[in-house]
Amino acid sequence: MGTSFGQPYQADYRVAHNHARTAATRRHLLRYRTSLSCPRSSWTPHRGEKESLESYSEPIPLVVEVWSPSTGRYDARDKLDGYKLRGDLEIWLIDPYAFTLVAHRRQPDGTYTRRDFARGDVVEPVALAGVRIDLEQLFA
Amino acid sequence: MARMPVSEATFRQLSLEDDDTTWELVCGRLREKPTMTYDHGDLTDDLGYILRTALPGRLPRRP
Repeated sequence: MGTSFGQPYQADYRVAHNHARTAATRRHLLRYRTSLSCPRSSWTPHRGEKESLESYSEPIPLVVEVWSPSTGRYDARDKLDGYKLRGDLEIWLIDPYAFTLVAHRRQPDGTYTRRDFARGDVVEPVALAGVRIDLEQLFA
Repeated sequence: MARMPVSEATFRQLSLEDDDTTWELVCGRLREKPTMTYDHGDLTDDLGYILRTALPGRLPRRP
C-alpha cells in the first residue's frame, strides 16, 4: 500500500461497511464488518466492473469486528489470526454487550500488541491520524 | 451451513450471484455468515458513520 506503520495515509479513505472481503491467502477469503481501505488505487480501478468481487489482499489500516453471539468465537480466533497473517495495521474487536474494545496493533517487527479499552475511553487508530472514537458515545 | 469444498473462482461467482447470503471461503470451504443482532448492526452503523465523518476527504467518483 506504499505506507509504513505509524505514518498517516495521505490518500482518500474508504469505509467498507459490511460488504467487502479481505483475502488472507488465495483460499481464505474473509468478510469483515467494518474496515477502512486505502489508497484509492486499491479499489478505484475496479469501479464499473460487473464481474469483480470486492476483496482486498493488501494490508488494511483498520479492521473492525463487532462481537456477535453467532460469530464471536470465530471472529476472535480464526479471523483475528487471518488479519494478522495479512499484516493489517490495526484490528479492533468490539463487544457491544460488555462495552469493550480490544485493539491489536502491528509493530514494526511484525508482532502485535494488545490494548484493552472500555466505556469512557477514547481510542485513536494508529494509522489514521486525527481520528478519535469516543467509546462513551459509541456505546450510548 | 454449507461446508462443501469449492474453488476461489466458484466462490467469487457465487458471492456475486447470491445476494441473499453472505458467503465466506475458509480454507477452501464455503461458510455462510450468520445474520446480525440488533446491537451488532446498530453499533456497526454508528461506527461507520463516525469514521466516515472523521476521515479527511471524500470518496473519489468516476468523472
